[in-house]
Amino acid sequence: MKKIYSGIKQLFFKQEATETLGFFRIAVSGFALIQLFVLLPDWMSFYGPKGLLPWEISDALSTTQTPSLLFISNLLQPLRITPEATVYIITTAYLISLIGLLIGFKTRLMGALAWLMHIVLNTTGHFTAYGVETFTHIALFYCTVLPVGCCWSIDARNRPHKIPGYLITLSVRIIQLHLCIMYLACGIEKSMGSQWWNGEAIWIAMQQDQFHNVNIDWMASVPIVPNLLCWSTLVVESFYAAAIFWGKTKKIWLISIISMHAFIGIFLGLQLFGGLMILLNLAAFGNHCFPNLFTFNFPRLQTVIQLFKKHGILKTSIGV
Amino acid sequence: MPLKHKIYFGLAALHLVMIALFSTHFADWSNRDNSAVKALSVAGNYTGSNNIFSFFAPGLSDQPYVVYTVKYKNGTEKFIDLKGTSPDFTNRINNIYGYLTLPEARSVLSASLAQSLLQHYPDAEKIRVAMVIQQIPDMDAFRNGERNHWEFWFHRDFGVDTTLLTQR
Repeated sequence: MKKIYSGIKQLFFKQEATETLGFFRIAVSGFALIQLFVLLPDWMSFYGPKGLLPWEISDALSTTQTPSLLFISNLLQPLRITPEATVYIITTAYLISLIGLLIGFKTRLMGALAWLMHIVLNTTGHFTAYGVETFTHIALFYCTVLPVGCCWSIDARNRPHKIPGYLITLSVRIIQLHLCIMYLACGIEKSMGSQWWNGEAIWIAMQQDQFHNVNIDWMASVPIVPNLLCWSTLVVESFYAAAIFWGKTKKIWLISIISMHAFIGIFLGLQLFGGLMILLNLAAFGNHCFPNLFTFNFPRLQTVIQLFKKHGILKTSIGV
Repeated sequence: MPLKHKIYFGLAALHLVMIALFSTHFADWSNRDNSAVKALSVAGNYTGSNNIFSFFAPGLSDQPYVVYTVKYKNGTEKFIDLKGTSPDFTNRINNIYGYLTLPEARSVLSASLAQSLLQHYPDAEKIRVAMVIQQIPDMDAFRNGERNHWEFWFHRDFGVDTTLLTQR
């Protein structure tokens, strides 16, 4: 009993690096900015009043009680602001708040604004949204409520933070445990389907026209390959929560999950989703698995550089 | 530790419990009319704690796709494969096509897509929205010579005012 209590205490009170939250903020806002620019050419198709799905339809079929672009447009109508102008206003506010969040200027305010603007856009565009929006929404919510501006931000530079260490640890743990619950649920749900046991899931996914980036006809003759890919996905996701916290397996598990998302990005054409998941995993567990990752302090690398210098391979001084 | 921080710990615990609950399809098996469940769902919409994580689970279904044919007033026809400009357009439009497999959503979504397309073709008098499904043989069948093919699912014809003309 004492051991369990000490374990829980260790989990929530062991000091975590503030850089973890700084990296999380920069990764999330940087990603959301890239996503915004990637989608910009088709922005009005996804979110415009006369886009692929008119606002009235997407609102009528929405199951959430969150504000939509139609709702905001109706609020702005007395000011003679057109529905199209409403999209531009919301998009501009989203863009500015993401830039503010990225540089850590008025971080809490910018995080809240980015989160709200994303909710508005996503409520209207929910028919076109997939996993990437789910995780952008979650991450922006964390940028609003967690002290992500405590490091690598203009706010921290102007006024060094006085946040107790246990709140930094709590913040990091929430993100970590969210990922753990998500992967456990994914692993269990996948394991309930026969396609993930006989390799057909990978075969079907990679044969589908929408994901068909490479020819994998040869896999039908070597079924052990899709089988191994499916089984390894089940293992990596189902045991993620335990393995990522265990000292002996944490490094290999982080590398495995990043590889899995890189595979999804490259071979299934879901680059945005794969990229975001890699960033979230790196932010949540990068420093936990590879200490000093965010402080850029790698003693072994410094030793190698010293060795190179000693043998005249490196003439100039390089600071790491 | 000040009381405020103790409350933070309590809220964090509640948030994580909600994530765990909703990931087990809580919204499906709980009493939806219960006001506490409703309040949790609304809170979850804002905090992101009410998600189901069923990515490619329990398995993958056949892929739907939609093609469009516009008929002009002079009788000529044009086939349209809707492609966007951004690299993520395909992933997003396929999401909409996925909803078209639901019979109850089919009418309103196909009419919306027809209306959206007709905006770009002002000379058109009619548009056909046709859905096809990609059938993928399993690995055994593929080894025995079966190949991927598309099967017709349904079509709907709409006039310029998006009235339904014909359907099959």
